[in-house]
Amino acid sequence: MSKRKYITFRILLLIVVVFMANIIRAEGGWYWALLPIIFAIAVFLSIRYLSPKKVKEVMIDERTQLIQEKASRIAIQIFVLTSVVIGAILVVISYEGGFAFSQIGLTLTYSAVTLALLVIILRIYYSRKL
Amino acid sequence: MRNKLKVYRAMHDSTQEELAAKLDVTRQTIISVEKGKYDPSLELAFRIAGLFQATIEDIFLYGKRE
Repeated sequence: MSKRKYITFRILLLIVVVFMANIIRAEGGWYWALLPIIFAIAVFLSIRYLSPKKVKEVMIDERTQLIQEKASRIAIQIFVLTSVVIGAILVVISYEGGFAFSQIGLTLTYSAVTLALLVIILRIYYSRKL
Repeated sequence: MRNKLKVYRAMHDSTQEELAAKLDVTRQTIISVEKGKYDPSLELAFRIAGLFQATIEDIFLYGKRE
């Protein structure tokens, strides 16, 4: 399997799984949404490692890792900043009265803080390791 | 950093794809290195130099990009 075919397959699989998960989630309990995810992981692993036509081309090298690192860092910064700002605004608006956005605001803020904490912990861990 | 990777590749009559396969990197990495958009790690630079039986200094020239 060529790299291009593999990437296309991965995108298609992701779309199918999200679609399936949404349908199952709408129909029944949340636990049913785990089924397509387990299915996707099984298909992904079988294609990536067990298939006789497994991907022969190099998928990840030092340049792609560097790109991923940069993209992740910027994504985290954008997510944390926007979540905290939007979350704080929603909480303030709900305290001012009228709108019941405090839950959404707090969820956004806490998720951003959790992510920021996780990044700090992992940075400390890797700075000691490397 | 500038480099003569394209010249060495031509001297050895090798394509970007062949070079990428020998070095265990993607073809895009070879393209980026040749264009001077990406400076390879020391390990990759050593591997490139070893493949062409040259020294790192022969292929990579330290200095600002033009």
